Amino acid sequence: MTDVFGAEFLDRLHSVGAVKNPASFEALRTQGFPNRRVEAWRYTDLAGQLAQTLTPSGLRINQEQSGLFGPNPAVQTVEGDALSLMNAAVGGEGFLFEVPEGARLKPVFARFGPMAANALVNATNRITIGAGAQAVLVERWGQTDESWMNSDTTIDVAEGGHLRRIILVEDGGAGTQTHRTFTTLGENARYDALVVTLGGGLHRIEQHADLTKPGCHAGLSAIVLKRGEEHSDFVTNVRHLAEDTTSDQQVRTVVDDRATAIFQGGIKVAQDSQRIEGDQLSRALMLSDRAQAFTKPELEIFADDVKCSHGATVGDLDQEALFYMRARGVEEAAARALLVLAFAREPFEALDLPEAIETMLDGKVQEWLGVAGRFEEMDL
Amino acid sequence: MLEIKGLHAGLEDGTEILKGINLSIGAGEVHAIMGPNGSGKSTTANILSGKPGYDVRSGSATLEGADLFEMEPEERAHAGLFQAFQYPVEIPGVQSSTFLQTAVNAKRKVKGLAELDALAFVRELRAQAKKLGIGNDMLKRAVNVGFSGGEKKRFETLQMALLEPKLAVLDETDSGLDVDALRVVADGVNALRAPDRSFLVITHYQRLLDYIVPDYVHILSDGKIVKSGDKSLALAVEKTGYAEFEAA
Ligand SMILES: Nc1ncnc2c1ncn2[C@@H]1O[C@H](COP(=O)(O)OP(=O)(O)O)[C@@H](O)[C@H]1O
Ligand SMILES: [Mg+2]
Repeated sequence: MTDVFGAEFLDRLHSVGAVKNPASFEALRTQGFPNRRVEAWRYTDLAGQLAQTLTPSGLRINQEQSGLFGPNPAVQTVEGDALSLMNAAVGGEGFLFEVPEGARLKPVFARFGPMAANALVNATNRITIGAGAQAVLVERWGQTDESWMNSDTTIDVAEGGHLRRIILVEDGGAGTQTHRTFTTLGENARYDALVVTLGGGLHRIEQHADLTKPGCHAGLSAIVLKRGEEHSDFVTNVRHLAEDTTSDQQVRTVVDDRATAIFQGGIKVAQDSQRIEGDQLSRALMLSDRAQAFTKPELEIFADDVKCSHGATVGDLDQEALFYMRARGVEEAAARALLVLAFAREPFEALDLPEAIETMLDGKVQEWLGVAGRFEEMDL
Repeated sequence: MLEIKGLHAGLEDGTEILKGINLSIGAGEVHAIMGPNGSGKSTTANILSGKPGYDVRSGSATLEGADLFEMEPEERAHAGLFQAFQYPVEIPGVQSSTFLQTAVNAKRKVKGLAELDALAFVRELRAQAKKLGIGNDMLKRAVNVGFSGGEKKRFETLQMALLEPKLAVLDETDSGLDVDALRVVADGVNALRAPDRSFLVITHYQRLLDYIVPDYVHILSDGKIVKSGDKSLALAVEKTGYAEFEAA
């Protein structure tokens, strides 16, 4: 067999008997993992992770509300990208989250982690939101240390349904997390996703959304907080396949030290999809000269009646605001933290989340800034 | 309280703006600086506060004997200096009340006082805000964002009341205010007058000085104080304009 990228890694997987689905594995063994010559992987190198010896391991799921979650049957596929094929070849784990028609749920919280150290965890998940149903799902993927967590989630939101989904990807160590979501939206359905990525060696989170019926909306946002040598690659791919559909992508990135953050933001409008609105705004704050932030908008528009906007800014903290606060006696570190916090919370302020979730997210950002619990919004 | 001696200062590119300022403000005194646009009034205030972008070439400024130019901006605030800005900065995403609590507690910490929790702070905040006609909705908004000109000036005055400075420098606190708002702000300032608190009131117009009556008035022209006197000097300027006082 030719030497595809990651061949040794795959041979190791095979030799430890991790392969459960030979057809998927063969497809993967033939195509190999994407190297940096593949356009979508230009900025992200899997070589480091593929060089590690990992123990295939199960997914640990902690969830507070039962009854809504169940095990998801393994998917057998020979198509798709390498990471999805790996998932199909080795996986067979994951969750099923079903919200029946018309249901209105209280927020559901769930945590996902590896069962062992140095683990390779694959998960295939499925979320279905019935017609007119409303749900808020908070997923926390993390504490993977040196592990690699890789998942595929497919979501269907039926007519008039609304899913708000927070995906908190956090690592204590230098773990790798690669998560992909494929969402299909029905008529007047809404999917608002907010990815928050903190810590970790390498995080690549992909959000694909197909807007298949009029009146539906996808909001794909991210808060990316990186320092040290951390690396984040946030990828979106919104396809406006029906008329009268809207999308919004808000990405706020804060990079310090030598961290790298990439946003690859895709908006595609099919030929007969008229009256489309697609917005995209990526703002990055550079807290160090050696940090890097890249934004790569990818707009492919084949219809005429389309309003698409995209903007990208890279900057430092507002020096005037910093001075104003210091002149009031706020120490520089606290003033900087307040400004970063204000910047980072923009995407979730727009989501109109339950207060408990806002507080939790606020807390995460403050923790990252080293000012945990220091600032609170006041009830007046 | 404040001693400025032989202050020459300007921009980092070498432009000289202040060309030898001498000013001595005693405890409890109210001094006014008047002068035409561009004479260096805001520059004086900014340099005292430590705003980046300026360069002090020579001279000194001390607050109760402490060298201001040796301190970071926050240290100057802790030492008792307060500048009400001519153009308060908008800070999107930072709730006004959170900002105020952070500022008040920073100062308390330096003074060795216990920090105020949200509840205790809100009580204090409400009491002070009410006097200035500042409602809860304004305090819930981000700092200065969407505030009208008058609201910004009232918010500056509120910060002054909460931070209880020793020396308050008010830079054109009257600009953009109608007569009613002017009275509210002036009442706020007057309520803070105390034997151990001094004010430097910077204004272009005499009008404000009808409400905040100064002990001394100085005319600043082209970076120099060209004349000093009592409050009657302000009335004279109002009549004749600044031309007469232009530096030679
Ligand atoms: N940061 C600055 N950058 C450029 N010019 C400045 C700056 N600050 C002050 N100046 C200039 O210095 C002079 C004095 O300005 P300023 O102190 O604001 O005057 P005033 O407050 O008396 O109207 C003006 O000519 C002004 O344009
Ligand atoms: Mg001025």
